[in-house]
Amino acid sequence: MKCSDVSSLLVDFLYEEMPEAERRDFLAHVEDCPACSAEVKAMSSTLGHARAALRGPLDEAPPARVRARVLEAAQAAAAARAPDSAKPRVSRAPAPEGFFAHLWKTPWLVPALGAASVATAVFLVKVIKNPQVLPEQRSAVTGMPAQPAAAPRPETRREPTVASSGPTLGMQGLGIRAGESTAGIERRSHAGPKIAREAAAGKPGAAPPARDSLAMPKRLLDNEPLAGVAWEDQAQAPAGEVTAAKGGDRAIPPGHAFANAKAGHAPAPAMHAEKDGANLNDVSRSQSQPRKGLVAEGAGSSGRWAEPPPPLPAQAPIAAAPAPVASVAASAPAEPPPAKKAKAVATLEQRLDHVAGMPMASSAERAKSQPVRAAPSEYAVQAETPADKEMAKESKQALSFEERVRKAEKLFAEKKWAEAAAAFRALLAQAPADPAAKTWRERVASADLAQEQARAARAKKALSSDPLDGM
Amino acid sequence: MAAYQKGDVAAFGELMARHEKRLWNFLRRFVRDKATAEDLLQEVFLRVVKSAVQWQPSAKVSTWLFTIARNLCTDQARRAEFRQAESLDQANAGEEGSGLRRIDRVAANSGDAEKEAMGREIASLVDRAVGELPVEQREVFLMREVMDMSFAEIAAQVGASEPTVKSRMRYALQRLRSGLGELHEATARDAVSVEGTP
Repeated sequence: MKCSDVSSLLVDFLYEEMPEAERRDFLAHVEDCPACSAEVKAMSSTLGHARAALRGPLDEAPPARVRARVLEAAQAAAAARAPDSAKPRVSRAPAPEGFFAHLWKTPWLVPALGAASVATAVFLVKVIKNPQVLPEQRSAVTGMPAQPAAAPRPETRREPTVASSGPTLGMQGLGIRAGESTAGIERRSHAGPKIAREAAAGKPGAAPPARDSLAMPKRLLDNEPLAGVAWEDQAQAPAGEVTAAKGGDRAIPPGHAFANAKAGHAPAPAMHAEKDGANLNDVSRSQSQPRKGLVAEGAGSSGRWAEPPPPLPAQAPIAAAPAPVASVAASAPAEPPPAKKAKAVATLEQRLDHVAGMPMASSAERAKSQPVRAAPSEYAVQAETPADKEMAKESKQALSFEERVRKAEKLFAEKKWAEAAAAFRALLAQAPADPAAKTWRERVASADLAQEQARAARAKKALSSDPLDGM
Repeated sequence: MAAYQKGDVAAFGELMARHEKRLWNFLRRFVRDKATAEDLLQEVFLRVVKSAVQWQPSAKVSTWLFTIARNLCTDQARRAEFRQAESLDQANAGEEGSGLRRIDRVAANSGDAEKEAMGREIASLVDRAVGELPVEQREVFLMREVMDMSFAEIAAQVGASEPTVKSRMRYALQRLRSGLGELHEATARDAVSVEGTP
């Protein structure tokens, strides 16, 4: 063994990681070589001193506060990981994000939302069971009678007799004139539009709030046996119904439609108008009265609650409409602006005049082809005429144009130069004569300039950077 | 660790008690500054707390702990390299200004009643000498002498071959020898004076 070997094997010797044979050779050389012997002794002494120090005075215990802090954090982390039931109340887990995080931070919202949900559920249940609720409430709030019928959806044009005609045209659009039998549904008079217009204008004596009413044969209201007509749903049949009449027209309970189904009959209590020309306000007020045949208070001169008439013999029941009125009324605005209201009336006239000349389908065909649909709101009607569509389109375009302007300004403020320049260019292309066009051109120029400067800066940075960076 | 994963905080306390002293001494010798070592020790265990969910039973906790500690030390050494050198210079200047060499103080305290104080002084010399080792040599020396890791384990930890690790250890011992040279000289002088005393 050489001296260089001793130096390289010194660590193995000191830590006793040397094979026995090699160790003997190592010791033999060290005994014969004074230099290697001194080296080995010095290194062994150094290691001995270091070990003595590290395992003696330098062997310290860590500060106790470190453990206390760490254990506190460990406890908090464990509480956060534990299921909710196991969490200590003191250590609140981090709140979830989003809507529930907001709820977590504002706990008073929970009961408030709960109460609102319950109220909404109760209201919806009430509306479903009693479709008259909505017009009543609307009338009570606005002080106005329920609005006249809105025209049906476009698809109801195919069924003019169901949706668009009749003196007491409602939002359901299903009505029949006085004196008609169920067959009269198909043979409706064209005098309906006029009355509907009067109703829409809110004239006294016009048809009652038609959004939830159906024309009923006079003899039905007079408790005359009506062949083929009966209340299908006893539970849903209103105990008292408004019949604002003009020229013998009567309203049938809202939310019901005639159908040629076969079923039994049910009592159909109705509220009779005492005289023709019932005031719509009175009607709406009377509609808000309690049902089940109770005498209405404050029903005005238009009518009072009458005792439920005897059951009507019927060969064909009246199919209860699946509460479409309520659903429509819930989505309909309470009161349109006067201009829109007038437009709605005009639109309605136009439509009624249109459907007056259309062939009528049989009720059986209607029942097969399409269920009674809920009519849209007055606003939806307006948008269906070409003029209204154009107006709505213009309005939408104007709105979107403003939004685009705002978006472009926002992009410019956010220094998104390329997108901002493109947005302003698009605005200039669309409205070059706009008063703000000058500003937009300046914005485009500024954005382009900023883009150029950014590019130059990037190029300069790339050239000046060390190619060895990042290695 | 598995118990702590299930929410047993006491188990984590036990784990801490088992490993904290060695880790502390490693950190204490590595960074030399007590406050920094305290921060690093806390950070080691906090990282374990944060990552406890991801721990797999197949992983050795001591290895995991030391890996975190070593990474923290390496980062700290890089950041404090300049400051450390500066502070060491200041410490040396202060000692020189005291008028007494360290070894003289050690020799002066070498009376029978002062063995404990001498041991502290020697420990101080060792502490300083270890602290002056290059980072690569220091970590190898401390892993072996404080953490009781084998050279194979050290090699795996630092990502070097075992001969390389042993070579670093040899260089570390040579440097320590130089650092403790005054102590060796004083010890030899004391031995001579004791032998010459009638």
